[in-house]
Amino acid sequence: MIDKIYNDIVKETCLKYVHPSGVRVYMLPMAGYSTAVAQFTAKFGSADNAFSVNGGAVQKVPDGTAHYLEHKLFESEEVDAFELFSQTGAYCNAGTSFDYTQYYFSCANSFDRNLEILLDFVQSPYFTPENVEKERGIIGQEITMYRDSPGWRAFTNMLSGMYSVNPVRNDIAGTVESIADITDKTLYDCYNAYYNPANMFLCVAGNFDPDEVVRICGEKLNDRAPLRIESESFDEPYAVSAKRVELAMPVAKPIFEIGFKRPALSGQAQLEEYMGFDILFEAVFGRTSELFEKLRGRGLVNEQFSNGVVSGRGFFFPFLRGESDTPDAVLEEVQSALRSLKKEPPSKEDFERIKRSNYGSFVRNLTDADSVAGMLTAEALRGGSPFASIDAAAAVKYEQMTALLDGLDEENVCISIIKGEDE
Amino acid sequence: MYKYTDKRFKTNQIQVLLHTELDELSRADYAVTEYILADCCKKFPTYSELSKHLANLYGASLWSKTVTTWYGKRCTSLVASVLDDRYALNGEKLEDEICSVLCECLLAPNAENGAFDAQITELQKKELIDNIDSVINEKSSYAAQRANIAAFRGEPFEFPITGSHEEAERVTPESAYRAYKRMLKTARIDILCAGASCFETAEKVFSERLADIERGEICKLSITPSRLKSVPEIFEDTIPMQQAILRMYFKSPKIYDRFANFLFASILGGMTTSRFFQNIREKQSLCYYCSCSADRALRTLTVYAGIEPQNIDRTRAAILAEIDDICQNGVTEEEIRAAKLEARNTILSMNDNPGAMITWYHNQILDDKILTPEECWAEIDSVTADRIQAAAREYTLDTLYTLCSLDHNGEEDAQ
Repeated sequence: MIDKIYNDIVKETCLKYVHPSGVRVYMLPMAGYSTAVAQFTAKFGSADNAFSVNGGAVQKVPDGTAHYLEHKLFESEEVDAFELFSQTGAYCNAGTSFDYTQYYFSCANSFDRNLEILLDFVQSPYFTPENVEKERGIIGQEITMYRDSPGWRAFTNMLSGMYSVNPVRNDIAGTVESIADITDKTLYDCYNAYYNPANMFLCVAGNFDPDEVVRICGEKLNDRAPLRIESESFDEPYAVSAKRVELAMPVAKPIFEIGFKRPALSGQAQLEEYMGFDILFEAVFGRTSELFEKLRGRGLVNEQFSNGVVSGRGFFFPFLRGESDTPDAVLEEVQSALRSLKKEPPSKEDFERIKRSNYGSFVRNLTDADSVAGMLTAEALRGGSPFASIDAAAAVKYEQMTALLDGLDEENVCISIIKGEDE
Repeated sequence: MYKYTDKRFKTNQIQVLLHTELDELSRADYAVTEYILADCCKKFPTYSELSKHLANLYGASLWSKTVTTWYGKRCTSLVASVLDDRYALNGEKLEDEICSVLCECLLAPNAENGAFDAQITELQKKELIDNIDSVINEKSSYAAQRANIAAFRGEPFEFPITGSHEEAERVTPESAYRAYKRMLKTARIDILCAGASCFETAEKVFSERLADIERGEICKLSITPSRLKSVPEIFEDTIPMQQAILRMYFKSPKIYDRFANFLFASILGGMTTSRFFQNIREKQSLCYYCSCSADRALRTLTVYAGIEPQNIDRTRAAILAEIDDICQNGVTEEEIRAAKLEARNTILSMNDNPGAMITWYHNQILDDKILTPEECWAEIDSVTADRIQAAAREYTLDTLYTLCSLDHNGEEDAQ
């Protein structure tokens, strides 16, 4: 049975279908479009490095296993997935995050065939000692490439500064040393646990026929008994692990990331807090804020100064990032501004303006199939309605934002700095 | 004015392009001008005020960019993206308003007595310097910038369009304003619109506001392929880094089959079943990435790879071997089929994005015949194996660049 979920704000309808295997399927057809995008996602990310199945013993795996598995899943005993997609012309790729791994394609033709290939290869692992070994060098080079990126290093160092035990403190791809311990058995163990259909979902947007998606899912999705998978829980302290982390690399001007550690949330509570912080940080630090104007005018930050909120399974933090000759002075200004704003918060006018701007962003994002599929995946990961973010953005109240400001501990932050090698 | 209307879209994008001569001595002045125009104007004298107004227009965005175009001129763009009027909650006329804001920024900047506002100029000058200097933060961009010096020596692409740190230091409110006035007077101005609107409002606003600009001799656009060196130039840089980057430039200045080259670059290193991906990355594990792209105006094929420093020579040899193999033995029907399908996918996808459609038509601004994505795909579909082999044979190695660290031990720890 297909459920129709209509959203009156953006005037779009999402179709939801649950395959008997447990795979949830979200579809948003976009009339007149040339392209279609499908994203097949497993709730298995780099932070899932210790787990139990059906209450059994906890199994630990090396850092970087989820990413390694993502690389290897494209391979098959006969024809690898890239080659199959090349026969249709589709663009395909995959990505690993802290709490999920996603496989996707976009295409302007042969959608049905592409969906078959996607579902087939993600459900057909082929790991051997030889092919796992062969990949180690390529992944090692990918790790090395990221280690040369100051922006990535600033971000990952901030995570390791904020968190003491949460595995998001470790790099998604692991290290050259940690991946040395990954074997074909490691990958099969993780695959058999986390790639269980009940732990996966499929999101499709663009030019396609929903009935065909249902038919193909019926033919291609494997029926497997649902498993109870539990990633090892951890007792993450309230306080940041380190207030300041610094690394020297070749950069023209020091770059920084400032993370505000917050307790992890899930579901609707996570979404509401996300929307509240999104508006709060834009009101306080965004392009229209007095603080940005002041810091920029004094040369403390430049146009690279930006803000955002990162949330997922087991982590939540608003952040600031930018370039500055004096990142510590920026942090002091930020903390001082937050203390003052608790007495005199951003105005209702500021709040309404940003809320209106966010509405525009949501509508704009629904213009291309990639963004729509991304929105469906984000909502599926959170476990709510496919339009939950749009509804939450419309419903957010001024008082919600000021309450978050009141409760924000501006001292519980980590600043990560990448400074020049000669400084 | 070029207009592309499709009611599927929920947004409208409007781009004003100003083509001028490179005017190499004033590169930084033009760059600061570009920054100022997107930052404020007389009506919205600070960035904050302009940003607030845009936020009230449902988060409309306005930005500027300057590139050295593929036809060797400076192209400064002011771009705005806004929701279609249908999605305004209170019936606001968003297209009308965003066009007016664009015109205010372009024609009524924050200036008087022959100079931009001194404080704003100083701020934008600093940001320009930061941007120029920060190229080192992204190693692939840094490698491209450094390699271009050798690959395009004496040509428009030799140096970045923004000018150097030293040139930026010399910018004054007066010098930037002079560049601005020169730009308005001499630029060939094109306005490209794509989105849900039929853009009658935009046409009306721009024709009224642009009518009074004082104009002089207008910049003429033409294509100039890059020159091939008689002997390949080898160029190397070292900075502290863990991975090495290799860039190789091949040129084909005499004969250039645009559609065959598109497929040749794709088969060689433009897709996941390409020779580079399959043979150099997957089979030989020499690199994490090895790709290439063909520039039809410069008639240049650029190959780039991220590799372990000890694999530089082997990767270089493997790249040359793949090209030589295509020159000698051609490509297979299976490779052509895959490249054509991939091209079809990429090209037809353009139709789904207003920004992509603007880029699509901008890239054809000098062509005798403007092709729709469907027409372009038909041309590519007609390419044969012989044409691809012939295209490959026209290339000669021109420049070889490596960026690597000779003495870095590859490890450091955060404190």
